[in-house]
Amino acid sequence: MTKNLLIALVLVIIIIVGYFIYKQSLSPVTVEPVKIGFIGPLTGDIANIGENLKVALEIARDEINRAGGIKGRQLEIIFEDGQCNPKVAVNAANKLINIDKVPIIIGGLCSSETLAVAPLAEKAKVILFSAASTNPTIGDAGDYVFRNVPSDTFQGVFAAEYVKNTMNLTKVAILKCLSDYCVGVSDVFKTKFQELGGTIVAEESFPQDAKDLRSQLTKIKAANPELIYFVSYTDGSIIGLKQAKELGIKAAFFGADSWSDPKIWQEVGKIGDGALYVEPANKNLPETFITEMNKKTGGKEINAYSPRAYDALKLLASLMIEKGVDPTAIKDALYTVKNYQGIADNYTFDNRGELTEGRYIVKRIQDGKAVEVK
Amino acid sequence: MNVIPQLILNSIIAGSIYSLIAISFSLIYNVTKFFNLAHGVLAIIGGYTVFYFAQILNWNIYIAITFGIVFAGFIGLILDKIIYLPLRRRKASNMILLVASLGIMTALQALLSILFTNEFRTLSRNINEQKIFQLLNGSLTQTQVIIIFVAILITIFIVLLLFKTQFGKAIRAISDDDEVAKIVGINTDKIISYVFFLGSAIAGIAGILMGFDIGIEPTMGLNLLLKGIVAVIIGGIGNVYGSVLGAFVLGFAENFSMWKIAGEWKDAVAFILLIIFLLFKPRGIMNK
Amino acid sequence: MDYLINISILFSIYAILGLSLNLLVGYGGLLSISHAAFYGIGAYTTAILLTKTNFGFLSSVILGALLAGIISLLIGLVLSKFKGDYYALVSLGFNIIIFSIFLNWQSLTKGPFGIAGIPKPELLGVDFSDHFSFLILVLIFLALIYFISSFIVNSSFGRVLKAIREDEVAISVFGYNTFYFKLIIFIIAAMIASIAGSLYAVYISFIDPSSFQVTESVFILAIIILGGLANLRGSILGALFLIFLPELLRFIGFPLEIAAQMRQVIYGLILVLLMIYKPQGLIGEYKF
Repeated sequence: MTKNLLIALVLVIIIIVGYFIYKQSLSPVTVEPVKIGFIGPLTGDIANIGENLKVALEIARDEINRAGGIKGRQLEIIFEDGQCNPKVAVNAANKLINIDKVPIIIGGLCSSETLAVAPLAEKAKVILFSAASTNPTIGDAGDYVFRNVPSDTFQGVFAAEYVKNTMNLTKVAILKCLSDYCVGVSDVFKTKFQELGGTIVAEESFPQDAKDLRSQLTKIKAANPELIYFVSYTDGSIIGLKQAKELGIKAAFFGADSWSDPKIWQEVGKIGDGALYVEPANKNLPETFITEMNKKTGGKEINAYSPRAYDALKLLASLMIEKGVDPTAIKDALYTVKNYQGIADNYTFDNRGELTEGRYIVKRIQDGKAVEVK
Repeated sequence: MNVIPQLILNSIIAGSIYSLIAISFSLIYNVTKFFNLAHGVLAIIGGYTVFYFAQILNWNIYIAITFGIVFAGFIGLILDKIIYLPLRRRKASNMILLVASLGIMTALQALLSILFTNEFRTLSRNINEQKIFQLLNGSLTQTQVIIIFVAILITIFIVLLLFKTQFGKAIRAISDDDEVAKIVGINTDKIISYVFFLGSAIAGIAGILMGFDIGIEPTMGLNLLLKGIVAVIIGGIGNVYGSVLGAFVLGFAENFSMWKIAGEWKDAVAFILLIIFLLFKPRGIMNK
Repeated sequence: MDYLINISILFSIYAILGLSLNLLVGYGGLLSISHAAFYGIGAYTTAILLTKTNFGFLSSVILGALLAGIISLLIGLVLSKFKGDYYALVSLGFNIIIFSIFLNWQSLTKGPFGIAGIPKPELLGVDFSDHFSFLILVLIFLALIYFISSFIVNSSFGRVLKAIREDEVAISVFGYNTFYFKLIIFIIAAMIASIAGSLYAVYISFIDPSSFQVTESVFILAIIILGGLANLRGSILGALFLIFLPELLRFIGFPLEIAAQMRQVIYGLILVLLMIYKPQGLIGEYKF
């Protein structure tokens, strides 16, 4: 008797769930909006940067809609949390592609998100456009995969040249997180640095979510480097910098663009002073954009990628107005874009969906703030 | 070779934390004879309690710490009273208790995630003011010195408790044979509940210390506990000295193997040790 | 509609996992907390073969099962030395060791980066790219596994297994080599779990080590304990509950991160409540 009751109960649950889904699909639509997706970390380690991008996208979206949307249809962005985790990003992508049926996904933010989602987007012929993922292999990730931030093939080389030629240092240790982004840029750095005649005296790695880097730092300390090229996302950077000080490491620190998250420097305080890092060079941003961002984020710093995300949305919207919402048509149009003037940069895509050059600046941390090194 | 002094120090720090978990786990195991897999979460609860009172409510740090320790002990006590005790009364098998503890661990861990998010938190606020000591070519922070100190203190405390007090005698009686203990008039249920409080409080101390040294997040509990269990088995179940010894053997094995092997294998090292000991020396180094 | 299909695919995969673990825990009486490891072996074998070689889906399933069979043979040999909660603890240890291998043998598994772009299977000329046809494929597997499990359970092998579970000493008196029976069922369970893993890999198109940790093993255990040990329909029921029910949470409106954690709280609570009130689960026939 109980068994039958249970089966009945289960069936009831399935019917209830089914009803909710059915109801949702019946919701009345007036003029259907154009929906595109976003995948990026809205919670977790780099939520700071993700949130910043989200705000920039919202500003761009509102401007587009005020100007008439996409040929009269409102533009809507479905924001999904990727958590800088490829597994979570894939789930988000599955939902956006199969359930929301978006033609374009702006994302991922982390290279690991983008690389995991790329095959899905490619298979479904959905455009994947990243404003922040810099791992070199993204260039070959698919016909439908684009980005308006330069590949780390440029950043790694720039960093190596700066350390060797401008800072005149030859003994460097590498400390990198085990994530597509960290490994990608540090490998490029290593190759170039050795090419220039420098020596990598130690190379240690750690899982992205590691909480204790003492073993790795102990080994690096023993190798006596002049500088440590430390590539990590926010949490790892905070832990590494703190524990390095605790272990009495005196070497200078040089980071990659992930160090543009102000949260790192707020958390480590004085320990961070003197650290250097590289980030993509942006044009001087228009006042209106800065004011809007400040208003919506309560005065938080604008990172290097948010203006690029803004540019990405504006560019894609203009193409949608011209060519319609079919992803293949938009994709073909993207390859023909020459010198599109965005607020952060001017964009031209090569036949792999990549930017043709990358320009960077070096910043130094002073009293918890990043200042450009001229 | 100038890496060795630091490795030794790192091993001692790790061993100290592990010994706190091992001793407290061992205490509880000895009187109940089941693997309480929820033990690790109690350490993290201790850490988060301090986090909540010190950083969110802004209480005085020492009061927050005391509160954290007591609260962790309290939760352990409650778990015994409402879950483990009724099960023991029903003569539930060890496996039922183990699965129940798994359920508790899962639920409590997720609860912490909801309350505090999965973000990694550090309890120490002024890292710039951390005193750093140099010892024979290695560095030690003030927190780490405290960790070693506390581990020594607690070990001495427990040894004295077990061998010099009536309470300790009762514990040892129950550990030997709880049926006989009941017969000679020991209120086993009451003693066990005190042991749960004590053991959980010590776990809380471990979690708080880790919170100051490295930091805490909700999912750390299981890993910490498993290291504690490995330590207990290496050292010999049922023996307090064994737990401490096992903890330091583990700490040294982990850190020195890191010298030659990549850091990500650390956890595997612990378990390979566990299995080797269980296969060849199941009674551990110090046989009971 | 597509949403329902997706949930049903997940449900079917977990039903297969539940059936296989039930053979081991429910019918064999062996509390193993390592199932996620074999789930992972199947998933990684299929992922690697489908992305790096010309092997087809079915061949990868068979190879995965073979690999799982060999590894489970070795692990099973070690486990045969232990009983009850020690068995559980050592099995947990192996779960962690295999997880470490997934994480660290990067030249093979790409470690923490995971393997992306796993293609959907193509069998006998039929392309299973769209979710509906994939659901049919999974359901076929589920039905097959159900029949195989049923056959095992009702055969003389199954009868001896149940007898071993009830009283191993008694049955060995009759001349049955209990060691052999326990090892065989461990291997069979592992191989079936591996098949579920292969299905999972092609469904989700991206795998990384984090899906195969101890928490996953605990989840599968929760499914079979809830549904009922030693009852095959129970495993299906358990999977139904633990996969569909949490989705209701999302509809009620919990934000996504909290919903995932609430799920865990519920699993944990369910385990505890089951242990206290109904250790044999909803329609189970055995309780440890």
